[in-house]
Amino acid sequence: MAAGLMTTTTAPDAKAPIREEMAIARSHMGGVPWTAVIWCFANLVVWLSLWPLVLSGTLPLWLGSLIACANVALCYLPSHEAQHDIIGRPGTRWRWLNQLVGHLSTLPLVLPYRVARLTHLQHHKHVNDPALDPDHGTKATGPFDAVRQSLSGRQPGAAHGLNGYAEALKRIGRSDVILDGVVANMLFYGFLTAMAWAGFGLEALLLWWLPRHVGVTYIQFFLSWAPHHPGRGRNRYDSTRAWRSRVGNLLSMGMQYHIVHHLHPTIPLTRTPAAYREMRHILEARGCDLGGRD
Amino acid sequence: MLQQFLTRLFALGPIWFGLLFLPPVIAQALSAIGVESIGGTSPLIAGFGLGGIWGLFAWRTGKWLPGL
Repeated sequence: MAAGLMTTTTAPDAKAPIREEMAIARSHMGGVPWTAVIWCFANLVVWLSLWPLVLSGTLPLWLGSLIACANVALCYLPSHEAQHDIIGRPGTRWRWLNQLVGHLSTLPLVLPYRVARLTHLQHHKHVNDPALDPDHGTKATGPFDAVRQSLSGRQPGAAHGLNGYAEALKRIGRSDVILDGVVANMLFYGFLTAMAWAGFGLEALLLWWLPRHVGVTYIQFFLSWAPHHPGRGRNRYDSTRAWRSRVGNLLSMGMQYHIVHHLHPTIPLTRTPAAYREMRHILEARGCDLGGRD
Repeated sequence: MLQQFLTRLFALGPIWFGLLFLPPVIAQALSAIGVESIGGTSPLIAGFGLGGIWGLFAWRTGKWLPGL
């Protein structure tokens, strides 16, 4: 009896690490991430302004195209904050702003908010599952293969990549949302065609069509392939990783700390580095792949 | 009904892209580099030829570029 009591009182608390992890995570949640909100609108205004600037000859087309590539690559993450209700939860004061950012941010990407949100939540639920993770198609053996996979996923006959989102929506009983993607694509290609026949085909090609392909490749490389590579683990602590990007944290869009996002999806993007540093010892003890990241 | 129509419409996507978008873009690109005609045909006709063949290739093979 006495020995049993001794064991109980001196054994380490098995739940202490998760409690500490949750406490750290909670300290980084809450409030409106205004950086993401400003990011969304500034990025959209810059991209929209390229059209009159280029069409009027004020800005050279090559420069407009480069800026547009950056705009498309940058447009996803504010929507991503909205997809996780980080800007405003349902029923709260800033909910309308959350939904506005979600809908507007990915216009240059031609990715409707409901499609992005529902498929992304499936990604979180089934990360690295070949059959159920909508983003599993970006899995690749290395950086060059990741780019190739991204491009192949946008070919007319591809069943993975963005083409696989329709199947994911059917699987969860939300076939109605496929129409959002159909309408968005019809408007996109309709706009391109109208611009081309109006004599602005190269402008449409280089301000939207090509930047969209560059942007999707960039997003799939840094947001989908790199943080999940090698994409084998299916459990809480091994399905994603921390890593050290050769191009730094800004150019890899904060994804070096993606492991924190999967563990605690409602921590805003800009706070994940701090949260990572505070919970690093816990993640290390859990055996997470931290890629030598401090 | 609508779903069937849209499915068929999108299945032919590469052909629409090759015949509706690419011809004026190719014509504009050729004009921009000073090509006024190719073998006696206008840049737009050349665009229809190239865009049509490329679109048909993508529709048949499921790929815009071989090897992807």
